[in-house]
Amino acid sequence: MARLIPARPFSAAGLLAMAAFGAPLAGQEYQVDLEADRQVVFISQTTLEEFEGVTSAVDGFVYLPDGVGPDAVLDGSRLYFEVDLASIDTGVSLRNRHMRDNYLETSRFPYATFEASIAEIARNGEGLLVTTDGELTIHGVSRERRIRCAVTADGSPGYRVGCRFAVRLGDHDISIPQVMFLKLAEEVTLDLAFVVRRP
Amino acid sequence: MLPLNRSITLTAVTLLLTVSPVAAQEEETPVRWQRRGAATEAPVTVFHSPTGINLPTAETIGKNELLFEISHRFQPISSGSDGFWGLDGPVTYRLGLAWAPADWGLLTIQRSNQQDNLDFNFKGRAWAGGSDRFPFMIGAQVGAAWNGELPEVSPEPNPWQYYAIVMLNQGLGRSVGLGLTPAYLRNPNVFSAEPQNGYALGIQGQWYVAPGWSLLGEYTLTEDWGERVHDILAFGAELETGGHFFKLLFTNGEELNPSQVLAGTTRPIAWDQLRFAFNITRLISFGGSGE
Repeated sequence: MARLIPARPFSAAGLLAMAAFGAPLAGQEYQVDLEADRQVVFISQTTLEEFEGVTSAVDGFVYLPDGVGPDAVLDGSRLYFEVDLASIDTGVSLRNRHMRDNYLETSRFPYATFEASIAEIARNGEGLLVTTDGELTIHGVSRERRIRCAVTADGSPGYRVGCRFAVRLGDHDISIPQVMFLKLAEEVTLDLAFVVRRP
Repeated sequence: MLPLNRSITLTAVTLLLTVSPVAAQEEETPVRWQRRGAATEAPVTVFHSPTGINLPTAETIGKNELLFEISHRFQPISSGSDGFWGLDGPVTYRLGLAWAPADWGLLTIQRSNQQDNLDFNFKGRAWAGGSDRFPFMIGAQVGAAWNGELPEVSPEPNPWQYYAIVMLNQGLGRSVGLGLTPAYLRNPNVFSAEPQNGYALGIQGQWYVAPGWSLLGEYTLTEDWGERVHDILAFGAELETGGHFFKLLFTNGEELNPSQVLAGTTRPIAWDQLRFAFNITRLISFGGSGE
């Protein structure tokens, strides 16, 4: 389920941006701001060990045909995000290699991707809750997923996006050897935070 | 071959179809985003572990990580049930600790109880490249060892030894690693009146059978120095986890530290000299891996 990132008051620029984007406009594209803070964290929790893998290598776009807020036209909306999996750092070099070579097989499947359309945009406090329906592809295996993200204004014109959802590795044909020393959870939590802006 | 005017007509029709309103309507959305940058390339790897069995590989660990090691060489299995197939001991053991000041370099201090050999060495990964199918790595290790427990004989033994090892590692895909380790050893026979120069060649092989599991072998060709007149053969299996390497081994040699391995062993390669051994390493990290 989506984790709502803490709501905070919009800045003046953000309010202006929201006002502008709420108005009927031609199609608008927002791209991940590579200069702003970006973070993707996967969290693996087992009874023996908990660890995180972190990367900032997330990129992608959101396309909205008309408007941004709850009244936006969603028919024809598109979004695509990808995470460079070989860049994930778990804090231990050997574990990184295990993740790359044994589980994610990043030489064959370098990206995890989410390609979707927006199903709903609702007000969420002072921000928005965006519901997306699409295909999550990890390890070359795609699954239909509904993922919700919290969105708040971030400067002009931009939005801070925060999403949290669980992924069962078995759903993506990632098998975990049943050896007691290997401590990767069958279900990991993904936590994404990044900013999208008009290019 | 088509006549020129017919060719032009076909090209024009094709272009018209390509940009026709119908085609434009079917176009999804005018997204400008394109991937910005290539995917991260994983570091080149041949052997997964920084050490084969007795000799180093060109592999290193992440910057600021620590690698703790404990290794044992037991008595021959041929001792039978009286000696619990060699496990009753006495054993030769080693404790070691390595620290990576950079992701290409490793400083190690390790002590073996065989002649109380205290070893300091530095290993560097000099080059890594090749292709996915044939990764290749070159490394070098230099070290000094001090033997703290030598008998009082005449002439007086020289406790200091120095060595240099070059590691040439060739991968065959991701499943097989092969290594050659030519080495130089100063003062291989600590009991000789004058220090001598010795040479050795290690041959390493490892087959990564399944994720986390591999079979490995190592042969160290050595010269004859005093009672050390035999080469060292070692083989076994390795279990690899996200932070450990467990090597379960059989070998004819009791030697563990580099200056002793490179000088050879007193035990011949024979069934009745084969003994159980293990190496266990644990990677300790403080924060990022530095990769």
